[in-house]
Amino acid sequence: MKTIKQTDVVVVGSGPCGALVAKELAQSGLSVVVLEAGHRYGGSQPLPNSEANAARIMWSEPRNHVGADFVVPKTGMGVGGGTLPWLGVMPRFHREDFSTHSTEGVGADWPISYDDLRPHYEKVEREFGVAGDCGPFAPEKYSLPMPPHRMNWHAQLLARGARKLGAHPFAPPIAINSEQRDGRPACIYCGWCASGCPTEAKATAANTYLAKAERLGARVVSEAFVHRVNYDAAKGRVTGVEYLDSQGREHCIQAKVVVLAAHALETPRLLLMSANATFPDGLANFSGMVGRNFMSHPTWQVFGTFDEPVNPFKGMQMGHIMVQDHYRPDTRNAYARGFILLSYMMTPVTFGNLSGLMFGQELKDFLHDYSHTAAWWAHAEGLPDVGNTITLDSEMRDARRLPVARVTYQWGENDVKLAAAARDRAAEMMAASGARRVRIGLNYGAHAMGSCRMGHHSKTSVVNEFCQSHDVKNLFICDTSVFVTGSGLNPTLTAMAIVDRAAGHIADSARKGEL
Amino acid sequence: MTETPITLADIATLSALANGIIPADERDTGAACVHAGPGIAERMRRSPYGQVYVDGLKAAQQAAQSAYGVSVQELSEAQMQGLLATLRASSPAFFRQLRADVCGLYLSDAGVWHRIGFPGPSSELGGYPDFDQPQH
Repeated sequence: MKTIKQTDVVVVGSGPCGALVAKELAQSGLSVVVLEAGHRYGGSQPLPNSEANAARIMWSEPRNHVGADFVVPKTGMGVGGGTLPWLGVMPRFHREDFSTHSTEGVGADWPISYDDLRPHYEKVEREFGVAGDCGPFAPEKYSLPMPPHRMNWHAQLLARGARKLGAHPFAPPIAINSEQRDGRPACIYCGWCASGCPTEAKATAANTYLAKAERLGARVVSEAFVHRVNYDAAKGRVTGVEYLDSQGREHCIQAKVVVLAAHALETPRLLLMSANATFPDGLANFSGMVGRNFMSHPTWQVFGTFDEPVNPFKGMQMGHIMVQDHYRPDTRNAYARGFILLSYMMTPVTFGNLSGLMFGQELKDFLHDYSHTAAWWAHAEGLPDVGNTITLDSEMRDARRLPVARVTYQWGENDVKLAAAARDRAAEMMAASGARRVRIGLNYGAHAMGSCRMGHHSKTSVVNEFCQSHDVKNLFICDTSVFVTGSGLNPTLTAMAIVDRAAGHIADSARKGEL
Repeated sequence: MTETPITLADIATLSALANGIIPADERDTGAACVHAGPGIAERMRRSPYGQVYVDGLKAAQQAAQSAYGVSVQELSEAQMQGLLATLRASSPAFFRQLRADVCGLYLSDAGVWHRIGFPGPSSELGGYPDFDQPQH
């Protein structure tokens, strides 16, 4: 028999955005339930130092990837969501990132600007705990609550080549403690960030916002797979969600406000699975834009093997240094937008996976160069394309017999040119660092964004600037789904700043009785 | 979840393909040193992507017969490299999954770690205080 419970707010997804909105709304006095599809780790279920953790903390359920390009962004699963396997790099977007159409005639403009997000950037950096420098190309000079990490030897080698070519490498903002803070220790540079940090020096949604939300009374339910958002056509409102627990039992949560924070693949999937007589093409989809303009970052891995040992496993996995010299748009370029480079060292399995598609003796020789090999992560902007979509697969089902997400993707011409420029610049810098051999590794899509974009107009966007559905006023989408463009920078900080702004709007509206 | 059925012939085919991905040389016996064939078969049995393997193994046998007139298990080293190049282009999902699983097994082995110069987890020993010093 289905259990039915009631709350003010139900949040679907416990990643950084879901956790943040849960904490903010619990703090404003609302009752909050957070539903998470994955397990809760820690305590009696610690994560061991093992890359096999990927099968537990990264989304491993089936999806059908089709289209011309194989784009499979890393996404998380478990209490803490994507921050369990994430690497913590948190730069602010630049001013121009919010107006790519106005400034360069590509992509689309956002309904919000950098200045709208500035106070929320500052608040998230302070509350979440970010170390580093803003760097010489930041949208404005700003300071972070913790000092930068010292560069590991790997980053020092990379910085050597970057400086030789006139670039200005710096220690970027990163949500890993450089000193003891918020009850968590400083990083010991053991290098297992992506497998679930063993020391809690890395900020996750679980050890920051969710912990605070629970202390404020929010309830977090793990192994709760939400498969439907319920809608009352007479009232024009969503009334809650239905979920399956790990035993396949049905549950229902009735709520005054529903917040979807399941990331840019699962959020549109859930809306599409929640189609009803009023919304036959998917809940909150009068615009037809749910699932459209899905975006990722075209990324190349560039390796350099040195005569001297690099031991790249000593340190934080990503972001001991960043290069932003090629980020600002330049009309002299043969492409629009820009790219960044980040140091990226890896534990062994990831090293193998990111080495590309080589095999045989070439692969084996590469793997045995591990201790002498450094790597740049060349990361560029992928522009939105209405043909890159998340839909429901008509044939493939998950273990619950629910239709899986069908991901259709093709990089655009500018995406390919820009990523190639990033790759080639990284290779030049690697050679300038003294690498005896430079090898180009995997070309892939990093990060998942778009698919429920925000905008002023209900015919061309899914939510407004406060992440509120144009079609259903008590439904909010609070994750990277709402991105209009992806920028060429790591997206989590900006997603959290957008959601912090939205959370204030939700709390205010609730106080006024508008929800 | 429905388990994917696997035969002994499938395991032999997987073992041959795995050692094409990471071959034997003077360092070690390649994928065989971590029993990659049976290991992948076990993963395949429980994986939501089991059908990718079922389809891929069928494609591999057909391609081996078509190009060389023998089964995958009977290919020479050079023929195996040719087959893998074919599969990389014709069966990309299978090739990527196979490559990832072979690398995953090989690079999770403590003996392999030692040979590639990775000392293993260090968090219980205090991490790497020399992380910012020249490495030796």
